[in-house]
Amino acid sequence: MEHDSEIQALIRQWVAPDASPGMNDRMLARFHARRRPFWKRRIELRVSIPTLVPAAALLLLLAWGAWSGWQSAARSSFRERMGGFEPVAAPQLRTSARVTSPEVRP
Amino acid sequence: MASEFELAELAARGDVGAFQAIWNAHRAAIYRFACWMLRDPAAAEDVTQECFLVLLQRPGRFDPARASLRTLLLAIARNQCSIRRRKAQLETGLADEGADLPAPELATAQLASAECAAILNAAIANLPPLQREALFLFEYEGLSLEDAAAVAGTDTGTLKSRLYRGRQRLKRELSWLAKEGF
Repeated sequence: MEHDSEIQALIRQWVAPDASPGMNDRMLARFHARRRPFWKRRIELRVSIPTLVPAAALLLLLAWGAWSGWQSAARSSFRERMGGFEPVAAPQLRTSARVTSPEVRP
Repeated sequence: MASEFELAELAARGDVGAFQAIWNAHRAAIYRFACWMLRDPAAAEDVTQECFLVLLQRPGRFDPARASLRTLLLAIARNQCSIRRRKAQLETGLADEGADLPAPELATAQLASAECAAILNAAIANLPPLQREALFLFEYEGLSLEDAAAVAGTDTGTLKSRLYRGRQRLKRELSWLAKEGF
């Protein structure tokens, strides 16, 4: 494809506005800012984690949250049904020594 | 003398001299392109800097066998401009719209005035972005069709079509603006 000389001549009359005088300095500042010290680059460690791993972890977390929520709801509804009765955690057996019947006496 | 590939590698590793060599060789072209596309010198400066930072972050993107460094930087600049345009909603999109009306005779004599630059700027501003970038890359920057198509992320056939429509539209815009005594 040939250049259109008329359009090309016209377009090339266009002049970009001057860049601000600080542009070079700003670029150099950004260049230096992105440079890290040699020792940092040496000890840098990158670990790639496949997307599936965090996704599976998130699913597990959600499932655990849902399960524990269901558990506590079930526990509180059981308490309501028992009318405030709380089972004793460590029952202690008590025996009575009062025997009144004479026939049983040895 | 180091090749551009070596300079890019060195710059990415923190060599200031290599970076300055690349910066000095290409910054003007990238800035011009960004100005042409965005029509905002401050935004164009930002885009220019971003392009070079992208190159420093990923020097592996530069493959001299596929394209020159300038072509790569222009392609990065194009992406940056598109992102900015979308964010700022300066344009309604990258739609390659514009009816193909016949181009009238160009009144070049009328353009040889002090208002020429203003008329030209207004005409360029009225071009759809895809036609505008095609005209810049091929007619202004003088890239080959293949390189211009690579920067625009399209094939040469589509680029030719954009060039044709862009020229027609630019002639029409210029003629109309000149007639209106812009």
